[in-house]
Amino acid sequence: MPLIELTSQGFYCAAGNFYIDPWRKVDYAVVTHAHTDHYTANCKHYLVSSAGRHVFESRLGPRADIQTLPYGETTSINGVKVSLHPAGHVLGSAQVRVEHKGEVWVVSGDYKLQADNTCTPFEPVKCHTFITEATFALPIYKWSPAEEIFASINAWWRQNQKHGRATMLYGYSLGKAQRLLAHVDSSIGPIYVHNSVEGMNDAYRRSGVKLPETKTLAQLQRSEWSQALIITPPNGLTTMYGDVSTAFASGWMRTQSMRRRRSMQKGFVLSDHADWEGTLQAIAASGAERIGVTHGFIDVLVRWLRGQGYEATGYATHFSAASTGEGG
Amino acid sequence: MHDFSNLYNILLEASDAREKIDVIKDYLSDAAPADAAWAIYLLSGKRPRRVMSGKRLASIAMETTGTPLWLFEECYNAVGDMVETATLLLPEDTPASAVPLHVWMEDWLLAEMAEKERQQSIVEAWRELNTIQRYIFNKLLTGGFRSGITKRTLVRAIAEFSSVDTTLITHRLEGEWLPTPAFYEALIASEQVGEDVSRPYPFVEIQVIETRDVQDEFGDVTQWQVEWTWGGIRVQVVKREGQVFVWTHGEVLVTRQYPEILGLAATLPDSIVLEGDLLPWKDGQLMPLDNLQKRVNRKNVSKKLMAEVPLVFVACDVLEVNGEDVRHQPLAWRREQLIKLVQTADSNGFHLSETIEISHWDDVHAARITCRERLAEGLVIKHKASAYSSDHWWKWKAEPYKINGVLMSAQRGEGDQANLYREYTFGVWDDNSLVPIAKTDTGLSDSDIREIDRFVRQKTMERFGPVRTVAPALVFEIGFDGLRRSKRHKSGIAVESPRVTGWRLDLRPADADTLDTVRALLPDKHNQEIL
Repeated sequence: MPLIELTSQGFYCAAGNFYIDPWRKVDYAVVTHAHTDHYTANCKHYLVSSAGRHVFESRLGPRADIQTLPYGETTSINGVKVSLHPAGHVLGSAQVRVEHKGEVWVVSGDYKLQADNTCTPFEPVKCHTFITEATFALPIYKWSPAEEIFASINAWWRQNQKHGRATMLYGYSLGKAQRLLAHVDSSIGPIYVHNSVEGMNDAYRRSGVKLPETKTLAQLQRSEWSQALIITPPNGLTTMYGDVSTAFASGWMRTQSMRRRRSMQKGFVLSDHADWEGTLQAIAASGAERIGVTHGFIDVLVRWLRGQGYEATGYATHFSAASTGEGG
Repeated sequence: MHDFSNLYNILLEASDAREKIDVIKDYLSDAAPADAAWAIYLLSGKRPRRVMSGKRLASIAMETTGTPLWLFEECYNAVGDMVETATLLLPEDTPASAVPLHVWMEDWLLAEMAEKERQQSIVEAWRELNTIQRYIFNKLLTGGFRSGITKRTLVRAIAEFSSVDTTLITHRLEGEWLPTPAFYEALIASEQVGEDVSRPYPFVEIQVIETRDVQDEFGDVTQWQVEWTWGGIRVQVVKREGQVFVWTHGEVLVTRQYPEILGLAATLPDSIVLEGDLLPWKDGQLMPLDNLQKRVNRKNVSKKLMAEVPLVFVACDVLEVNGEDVRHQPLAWRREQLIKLVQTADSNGFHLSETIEISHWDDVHAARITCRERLAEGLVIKHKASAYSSDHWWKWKAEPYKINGVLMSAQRGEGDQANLYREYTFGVWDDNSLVPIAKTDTGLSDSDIREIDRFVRQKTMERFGPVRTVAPALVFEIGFDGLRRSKRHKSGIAVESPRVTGWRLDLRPADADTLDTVRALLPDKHNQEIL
C-alpha cells in the first residue's frame, strides 16, 4: 500500500492514521496552509507550522485544537515521522514530509519560488515521491520578477493620483494582500483595506511580519479618495466617492482573455504559485522519481513528466483556486 | 513617450476617451513623423497585408521553444487565441525594444523575404522585443491587430494635437493613403494644400430602431422623411475635376468594379458628391439581392456579367454641390437639389430613392408590413430639418423572419469567451434528420448561455476540435433578416444576421420547423423547386 493515498476525505497516511489537507472533517489533519480549499473546520486535531499559528487561529477560531511544529523539526504520529518545510506560498505555508520505513513522501501544498518578504522562502526537500500542485502548469505561464511588478503598481498608483482617481487593487485576503502591502511604496499615499484583509494583517503583524500602516474602508474619507490605494478581495464592496482605476493582481492576468473576463482595466501578473519553469524546477530539486500531481493542469503536467521519464500520477483533489476565490 | 507598444497598452487600459486622446497626443508630440504615420495608420483600423497565417506563426513558436503540438493545444485551450498563445510561449521577457515602429513595419514586416529568411527574421525580432511588443508584432504579422479605439477618438486626438479642425482631419484620413512622413506632415498641416480630389465624406452611421413605439420616440410624423431601403451596396459617388470615384461605406475605392456608374456620372455636373445604394436592376425591376454577390470584389467585370446583373445607382442624398460642402443644409433642401439633379441627368441607371407618402405613423407601420413582398430590407427615417449626421438617420428593419430550430452543436467562444460553449448551430428537420440552418452567438442572456454551456458539456455526443455535437433536445426561435440560396450550405440556404430570439421551452425537438418551411420563405419563389 502506498504511504499516502487519496481517499474521499483527502490525502491519507494509513500508517500514521492522519490526513493532509482533508476536505471533510477528520480526527487528525496536517494542514499545509490556511486557504479555504486546503483545510476544513471542526477537525479534532490540527498540526500546522509554527509560523502559521496566528493565521490559522484567526481562521479556525479560539476553540480549535491546533498543535504547531517549527519548520524542519520532526514529530512522530503513530510511529510515522512528520516534518514541515517552508513552501513560500503564504505566511506559515508548509510542505509536509512524511517518512516511514525508509520511504519519504513530500506533499507540497501550494508553493512559489519567487521571493516574498511576508513568508519564509521555499526550501526543496529530498524525497522518493513528491506530490506537487499544478495550478499554473502550462508553459505560457511565466512570471516576471516581482520587483518589476511592484514598480509598475507604484507607477500606476502615482498616475491615478495625478488624474484624481482612487487606486483599487484586488487580491486575496490572505497572502496576496499582505504581499502587496509589504512591497508597495507606502510613502505614495494612504492605504485602505477591506475588513477581511485587515483581519489577516493583524495575524501577520502578530507573527512579526512588517506591514505598512493600514486603515479599514469604514474609515475612508472622501477627501482621501483620490490619493488612496485600496486593497480588497475581488468580491469586497466599497462606497465609491469618485473616479477609480481597478486592477487585479493574479497569475491569471497573464492572458488577455482572463483580464477581459474579470472586466478590470488592468492586470498585474503576480502569483503566489510557481509558474511552469518553477514547477519543473521544484520537481527536479525534490530528487523524486515518482510525482503525484494535484490541482490545476493535472493531465498536462502528468503527460509532460511521463515524457521526461518520471513515474507520474494525477490526483483529483478538491483543491481549487477557482471555486474558493483563493490562490492565483 | 515614443514607444508604440506602450501607447497600445495604455489605450487598452484607459478608462475614458479623454485619457485615450491625451495619451495619443503625448505619443504624437514625441514620435518621429515616420513612426507617427504608421501609428495613425494602425490606430485608424487600417491593416497592412497579412504576412503569414496564425498557424504558421504558431509552428515557428513551437519550433523555437521546443513545444510539442499537444502541449501547444493545451495552452491554446487556456488562452483562446492562437497568436497570443504563441506569444506567451516565447522565452524570458527582455526589456522593451527601442527599435522605432517604422522599422518594424517596413524592414521586419513588409519587406519581401524568402520563407527561410522570413522565419529567421521573426525569431530575431522576438529576441529584440518584450512580451507586449511581441504580441503586437505577431498580431501585425498575422493580420489580426486591433487598436481598440474608435476613429472618432483618433480624429479628436490628431485634431487637438495639430489644431486642425476635426472634420478636416477626418476628411484627410478618408480613402487610400500610405503611411509616409509626407502624409503625416500633410495630415497635421494647418492649411489645405493639394487636398485629394477623390476624397469622400465620412459616412454617417445609420442607427437601428429597436422599438415598435416609433410615434413616442419620433413625435410629429410630418417632420420625417421615410424611404425604402433595399440593402444594396452603400456608396458615395464623387465627381471632381472631371474624374469619378465610387467609395463604399468601408472606405474602399471600387470605381473600376462598377463601370455603369462611370457612364451615368458622365451626365452629372462636376464638383458633386452623392450618396446612395448600388442595386441589381433588370427589366425595370429590382432583382433578388443575392445577385449582388456576383458583382462584389470582381477585379475584371465582363460584358456578360454586366448584362446578367446590371446595376443602378439609387441616390438618396447630396453632400457636395458646385464644390461646396452642403452637409449642414437641412435634408429637405438637399432633397430638392437631388431631385433637380436626377431630373436633369440623362441616364437610365440613375434613380432617386423612393419616399413614402405619409400623414400618420399608421402609414409607416402599414408600409413596413409590405417590406418582404417588395424585397425591401426595411425603412429609413430621416428628419427633414436635419444636417447629414448620424443623429438623424434611422433604419427600421422589416420584421425578422422567425423559425424554430433545434440546437445541434456548440463551439467555444473566441477570446474572453473561450471557456464557454456559446456559438451555436441550429438545425431544422429534413425528413428524419437535422440539417444546419443557422449559426449564431447572439441573442441569449448570460445566464441562458451558462445554462446551455452546462447542457452542452453533459450531453456531448461527439467532439471535433472546439465543437461539440449534442443530442437534439433544446428548441430555440431563430430570427434573421433575409435568406438566399447557397451552394456552400448543406441546407442549400444561407440566412442573414441570424440571432436567437427566444428559448422555446414549450416545444419539443419534434415540434421544430422543417427545411420545407424555410424554403417557402425564399423571395424568388419560382426557384424553390430546383433546390
